[in-house]
Amino acid sequence: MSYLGFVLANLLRNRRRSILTLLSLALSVFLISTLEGLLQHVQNSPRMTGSERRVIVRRRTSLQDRLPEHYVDKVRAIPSVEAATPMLWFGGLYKNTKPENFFGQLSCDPDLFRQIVPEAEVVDPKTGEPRPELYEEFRKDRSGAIAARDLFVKFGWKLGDKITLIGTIYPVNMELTLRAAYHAKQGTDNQTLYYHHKYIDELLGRPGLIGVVSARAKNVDDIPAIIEQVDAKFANSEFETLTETERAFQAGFVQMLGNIEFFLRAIATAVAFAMLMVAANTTAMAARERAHEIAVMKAIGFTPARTLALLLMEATLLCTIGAAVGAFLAWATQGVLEAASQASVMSFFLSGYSLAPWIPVAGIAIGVLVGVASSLGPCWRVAQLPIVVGLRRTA
Amino acid sequence: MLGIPLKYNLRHLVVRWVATVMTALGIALPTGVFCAVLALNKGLETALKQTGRPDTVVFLRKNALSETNSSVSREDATKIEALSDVAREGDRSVASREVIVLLNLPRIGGGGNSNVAIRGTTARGRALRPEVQLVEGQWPGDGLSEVVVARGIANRFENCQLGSRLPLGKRDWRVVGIFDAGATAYGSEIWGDAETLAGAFLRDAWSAVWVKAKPSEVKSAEQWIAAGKLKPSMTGPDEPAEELLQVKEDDDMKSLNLVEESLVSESALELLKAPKKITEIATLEAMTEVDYFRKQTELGSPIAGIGSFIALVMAVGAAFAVMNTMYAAIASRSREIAVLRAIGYPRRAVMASFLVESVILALVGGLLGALASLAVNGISTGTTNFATFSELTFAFRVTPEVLGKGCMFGGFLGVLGGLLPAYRASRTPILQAMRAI
Repeated sequence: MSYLGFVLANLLRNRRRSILTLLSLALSVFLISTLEGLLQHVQNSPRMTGSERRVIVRRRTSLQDRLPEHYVDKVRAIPSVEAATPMLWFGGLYKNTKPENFFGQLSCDPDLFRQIVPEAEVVDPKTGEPRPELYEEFRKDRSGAIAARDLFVKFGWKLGDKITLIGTIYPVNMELTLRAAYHAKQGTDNQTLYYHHKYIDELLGRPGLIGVVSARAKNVDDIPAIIEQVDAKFANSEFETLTETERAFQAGFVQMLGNIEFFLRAIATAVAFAMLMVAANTTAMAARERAHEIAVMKAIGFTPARTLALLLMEATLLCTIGAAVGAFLAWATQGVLEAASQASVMSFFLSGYSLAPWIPVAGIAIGVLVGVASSLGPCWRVAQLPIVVGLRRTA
Repeated sequence: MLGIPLKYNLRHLVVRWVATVMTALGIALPTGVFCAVLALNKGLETALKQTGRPDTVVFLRKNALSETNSSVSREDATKIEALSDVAREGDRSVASREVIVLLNLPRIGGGGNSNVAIRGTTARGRALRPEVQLVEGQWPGDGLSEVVVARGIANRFENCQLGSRLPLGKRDWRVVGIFDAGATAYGSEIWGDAETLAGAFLRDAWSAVWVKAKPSEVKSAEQWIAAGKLKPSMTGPDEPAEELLQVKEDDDMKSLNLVEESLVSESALELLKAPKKITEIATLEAMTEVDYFRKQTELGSPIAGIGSFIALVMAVGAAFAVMNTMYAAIASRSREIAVLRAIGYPRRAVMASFLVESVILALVGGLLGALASLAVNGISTGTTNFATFSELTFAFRVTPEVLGKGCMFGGFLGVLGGLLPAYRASRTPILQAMRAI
């Protein structure tokens, strides 16, 4: 009889226990992987193609304070800047004050938007197929809007629909016509609606103020120089600026949540410990019940080392399967989690949540390590039990 | 019929102590996390729900939702102060015109930046909030670039300590005092002189006007409805967009933005209806101080949401662990169970006995976890309040209620994990079990 067959048969002997342990371990690995995934996601959110060439220029005092519009031209005038657009956060209410109806509302320069955010592909809101010609519809209509396809789906919007956003920051309401949809595979979020900056400026009576400047560099290597040049240009002016990469800008919002890294890591540690308890308990129970037959095995010639190896193999196999199920669960529920977060402010942070491939792999590794480590003690004790003592034990 | 003595279960838990300890710890961990999340929510709630008096009313721009977004013109501010329901002291109204600016400040010891709200207020504004007490230094002088900082902010942000200089709107402001605001939302702010701050930030309008209503009877909104002073349609926070958009002819029917169970004084109620008296088209909105802060809890903390999700998943995992332990306990005691049944204990008693054993086990774990969560009690930290877009300082609060809920959570896991094994125990076939060795 092969040893693997022996180990498997032992695992299947108490199926209920094996399954309960497996599920418990699976949930732990699922949690650890998901927590790490969330942390990685919020910390490095839009990091890939596209965003690394963008910088955001804002008022040094705080994001709440506005910049004069002519700053856009001055940023654009820097030779290493390819294009720059004003952006203004409208922060309006859609339908009512419920948090699930919250989404990003930013103004842009419609002539330059595609150049600055090329990763946002213009698509048909129904099918998701590319339809670049729709962008022209948005560009021509001053009260037009281009919104993430995810928002079209969430609110059941159609092209040509008119929506009203009620101003909370500004004393105006914005009536917009949905002209196009976008979808970005990476680089930018899929939770925002963009409208013409000229439109909001007119509604507000042309104050000539903007929220931030979003600028795209010709070359990634120029970024540090651009940051320096922009901030130096406006130093000691009435409106001093703070320029940072888009990634750093986004990270700022996550930092505002507080010490989320400590919070998530602390919980992940607690989960790992809980897993340790469960695995140790199961192995201890299995080993104790089998004291008698282990004594028999040793009596017919199995060495203590081989007995220990067999018991450990059993524990390892169970932990590995459990951890693999958990890792799979974490991978399979990415979409569910993102969808579930839609009803809260979290939707903005979890937009586009996806697990880096190394996370489930690390989850499995942690599961196996913890499982085996916790089983060592109980297995050792039973394997070392003198034959006579073991034989006397009854189940 | 008597049940099986409790001692039977207790002794077993002691004899099988390794499994008992492992399982109890397995329950203690999710319970601890659960309690910590409750304590976090409690802390956030306390900061927002304990702030405010039923006779203090704030006037904001309509739909602004928070002072950060609001603006009230100087002209309107004068009209608000002249309202007949505003309390007077001598010939002056008890009112404070205030301005809120946000400042992006670095946290002490890394951890990035966050926006801190700076309130430009007046001596009357301080009198409106008696819970704000100066603990060190002095209040800012009129017309001087001086600020006082809440203790929770001074402890956690750079440049905010007594004597430091805070760069604000092109000049440095000296921190001349530290104040304590109890557990209220004001404990997350920096205060300066209203006119000076408005000048430094080129604000020609106020953010909000705070007033005290004339002394009058205080009742909850519900009671005012019962007393016929308020129509039910005038309450309710969730206005649909259509109502937010149009100004109705029958303005009395418009929602007053009241939370039903919160208290409001009679003259404050009149003030809530006042915005339409000030401007022809109501461009202002009034809220009681209590409701203003209470509504900010609606946005909730994203952190609390994640925490609840984690506690739930951990709980399911722990329930599986309890099941495992209980099934093992029952399997090793099948003869005993058969004997118990043979001497006359009905199935019901066996089931109850094992369920109780599981619950005791879980309660021990629950208690351990709840007690462990006391370690976070009082730890002060902060997160961003997305209603105001600024830092909200709060302390984890492990209250007796939180501990109680934690134990209940543990006990519930015991029921969840014990039910199936206990049922199985009650079905043990007597003869077979007695014969088995």
